[in-house]
Amino acid sequence: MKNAVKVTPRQEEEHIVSVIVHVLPEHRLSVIQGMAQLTGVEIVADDAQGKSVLLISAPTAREVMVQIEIIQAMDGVLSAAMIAHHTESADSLNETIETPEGLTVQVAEQ
Amino acid sequence: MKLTRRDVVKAQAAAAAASVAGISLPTQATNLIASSEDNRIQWDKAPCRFCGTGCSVSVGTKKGKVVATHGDQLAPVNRGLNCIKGYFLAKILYGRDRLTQPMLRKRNGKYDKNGEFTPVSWDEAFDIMAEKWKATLKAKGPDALGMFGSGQWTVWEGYAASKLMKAGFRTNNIEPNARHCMASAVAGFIRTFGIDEPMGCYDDLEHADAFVLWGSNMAEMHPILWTRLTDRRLSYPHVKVAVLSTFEHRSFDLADIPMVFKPQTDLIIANAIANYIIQNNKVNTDFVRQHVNFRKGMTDIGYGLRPEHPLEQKAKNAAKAGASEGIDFDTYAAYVADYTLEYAAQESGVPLNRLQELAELYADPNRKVMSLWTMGVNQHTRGVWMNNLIYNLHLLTGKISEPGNSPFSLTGQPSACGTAREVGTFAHRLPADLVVANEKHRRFAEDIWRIPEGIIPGKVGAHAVLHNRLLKDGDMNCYWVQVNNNMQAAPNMNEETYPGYRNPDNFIVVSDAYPTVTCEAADLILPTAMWVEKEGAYGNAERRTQFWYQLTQAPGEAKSDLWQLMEFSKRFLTDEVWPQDILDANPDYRGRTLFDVLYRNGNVDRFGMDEVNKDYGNHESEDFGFYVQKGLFEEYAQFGRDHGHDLAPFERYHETRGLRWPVVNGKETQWRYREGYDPYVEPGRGVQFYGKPDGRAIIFALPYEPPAESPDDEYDLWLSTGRVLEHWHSGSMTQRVPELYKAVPDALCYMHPEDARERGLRRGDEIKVTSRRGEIRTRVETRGRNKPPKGLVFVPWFDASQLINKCTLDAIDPISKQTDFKKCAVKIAKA
Repeated sequence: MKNAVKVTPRQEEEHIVSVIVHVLPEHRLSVIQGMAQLTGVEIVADDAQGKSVLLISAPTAREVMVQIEIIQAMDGVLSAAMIAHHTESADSLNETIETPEGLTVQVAEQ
Repeated sequence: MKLTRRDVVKAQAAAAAASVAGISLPTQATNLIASSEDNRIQWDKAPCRFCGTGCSVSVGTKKGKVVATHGDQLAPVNRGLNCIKGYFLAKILYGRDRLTQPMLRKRNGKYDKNGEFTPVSWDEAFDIMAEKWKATLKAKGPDALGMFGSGQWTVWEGYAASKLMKAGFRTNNIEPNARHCMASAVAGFIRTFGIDEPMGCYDDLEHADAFVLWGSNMAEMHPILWTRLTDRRLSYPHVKVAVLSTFEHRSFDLADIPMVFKPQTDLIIANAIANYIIQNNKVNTDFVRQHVNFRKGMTDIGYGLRPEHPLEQKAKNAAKAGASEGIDFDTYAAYVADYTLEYAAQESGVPLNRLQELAELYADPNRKVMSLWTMGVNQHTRGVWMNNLIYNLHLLTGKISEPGNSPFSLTGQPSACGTAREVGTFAHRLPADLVVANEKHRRFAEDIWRIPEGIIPGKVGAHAVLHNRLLKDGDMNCYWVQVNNNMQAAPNMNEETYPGYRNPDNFIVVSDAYPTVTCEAADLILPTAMWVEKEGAYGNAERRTQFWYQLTQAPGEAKSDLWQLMEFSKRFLTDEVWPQDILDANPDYRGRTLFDVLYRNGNVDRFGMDEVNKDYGNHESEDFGFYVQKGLFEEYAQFGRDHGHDLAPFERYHETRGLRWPVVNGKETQWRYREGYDPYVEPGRGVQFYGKPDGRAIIFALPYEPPAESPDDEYDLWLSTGRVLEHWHSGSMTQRVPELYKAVPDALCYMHPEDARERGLRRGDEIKVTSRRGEIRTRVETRGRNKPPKGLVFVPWFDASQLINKCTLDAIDPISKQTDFKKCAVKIAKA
């Protein structure tokens, strides 16, 4: 047990957002290269028609927005639509989970 | 195997996006573990609060507070996608300055027009309102009362408001802000088809071979529909996108045929395409022979300005602007013959080859075309004409009422269709396309409403812009504004709107969730429960009606607009507001409150509290003692059933992600007027435009006429106003979401770099934008997403610190009464 009188510091939040980006096919490679260089952006998948799935992680929603703004401003980007949004403290996201017998969770390689 | 919660959350988020995008992940996330955190969130569906697209959002509540919103994967409209506004939807409820109690201007403990806003109880608020309303009724009669609502009212709020004004107070002076937004589309539909709203639906986006944007920046204004359109364009290389606008914007990024035209010359371009179709023998003659009539519209119809304005003095036919006469095909063909593509190119500034490509999209019989438009066409002194001219192209070629062939009028507000138009909260309308001027329609409404014959007045009420003029002139003295920010939104604020609100003879009430410039100009502010703080219903642009439950409590004493309207009605006796002769003939109605005769009428109070879903709150029903929303909806639905506007039973909408009317035998209708899709088409007719008695739609011969004001030597630039992606409408809600505010904090004046240079200006300089009516200070932007051509500037209107409507002109379409916010003349100088 932790000491009860200790002041709890403000918990660091983490935002995890998934986004679909549409790109003109001729700009696909340059946009993907550009997005891959952004902090907290992971490209999970993309297809030949110019659609990509991204994960954006950042400590504030504001920083998520900035990344999306930067992506939307890239040459050849037609649209960026958000899908899922999850917020919780970084501490609790770092908790490990014992997976029950027989279950596996695989995560896209970064 | 060990993982962190972060891994699980990421896998879930990625899987959700991949499934929406229709692409498989390289390493598929399987057997996802739901976190214990997720289990404590209750998820419900609700349509988004913002635009007319009608996306469904999964709303997560935890301990009575909305904590998350996700795109709803089960929603046919958005299929799991969310735009930036939808994404931050949960935050609009929790701005720091939410209004939580009524505020009255007072001095020395009493109401004073020049007093300070002072917190008061609901009782005191309604007391002073009733006092003012009754004094005005006595002194001047019902037409000195007015109400201004919006396409953000829920279906039953608009319906209850319309009843209160038209049947309770006996005036048709009720308008929605949709007058500034959709009125030209409505009049266009009624003139061409005799029945309001699009025949097609969003499914057309996956079937069309070409998309033509007539003055709509879908990429920023309807981003989810734009994503669907983009998907179609990128997946099928033969698909073409044509974008027409008076300045270059984000939608041009996808354009195969980009076209920047000189303001107002869209009228010429549309006529030139019709002429091209005729000259090249591409008219679908069978379709035209069977399903179309031709008429020539009245011309020289003025600009709806005050009657003493020189332009109105000059206009010959302002009083009969909507009139037309029957003609035949040959006369029509001769009428448009002068509109060659060469002439259109010369007048519009669009290169000839692009106009040819555009015309060919419509002319090619093997290409399915979806035309899309919003404010560029509707906010236009000839907006009704433009709507008619676009329908002409689809009717000449028979490209209508089938998957992918679709003239589609997009909507700006979440329930501009469902409430403003279908419920009919306009000065001339009743529910389901009925109108007050028609005695039979009034009798029909009085019968459903169970009120005596003769209660609903037949005189069409004042339209929105006229409200402001009447307030200024002191002819309208009691005014109630709900769920919109009209001081900021209405044109010519300096000369018309503000003087009207602050006229000492007038008492202005504003219901809102947040303090706006309209609240500041009011005498009484009422705090309002919004969105999922009440049970609601919206209708989107594709005729889809969607419901949601109350998911959380409103802060403080805030109450829904519906509660406010119904509670206020208790303060009036029929004897105080209805004429003696009608009461003499119907003595049972004497001594009853307006609440009794309008809402305790045996219809609205028909469903008891036992029918309210116990899992959700319902603050109105809890107060009034019956299931208010269901009673209002079922009474309202009687108007449309069996005449082309059928709505499903109430409960069905809580179970589905909405249904597109007419809903006949439990089945929604995707494409109207075509046999096989629409149950109202008689067997064997193939196509039947049943809004018109003979089943034929109308092609209108209408010319080019100049705008009300154009640049000259002194005021040498066109001003166009509009929105930006991050801020919806006046910004009263989105400005309170920190992320949206920071992304685009202040409005800017977008201008061509050469126009800036000629005036000695550099990007970021502070400038004055001045018209004949007013001026604002703002800053120059020569880069960025909006790129005006030389001679035109664009200023968005969301920013309450830079009220661009001080500069705009209150010129309107004389038929639809909708303002032209896209064209007036300004000059620009360094501040």
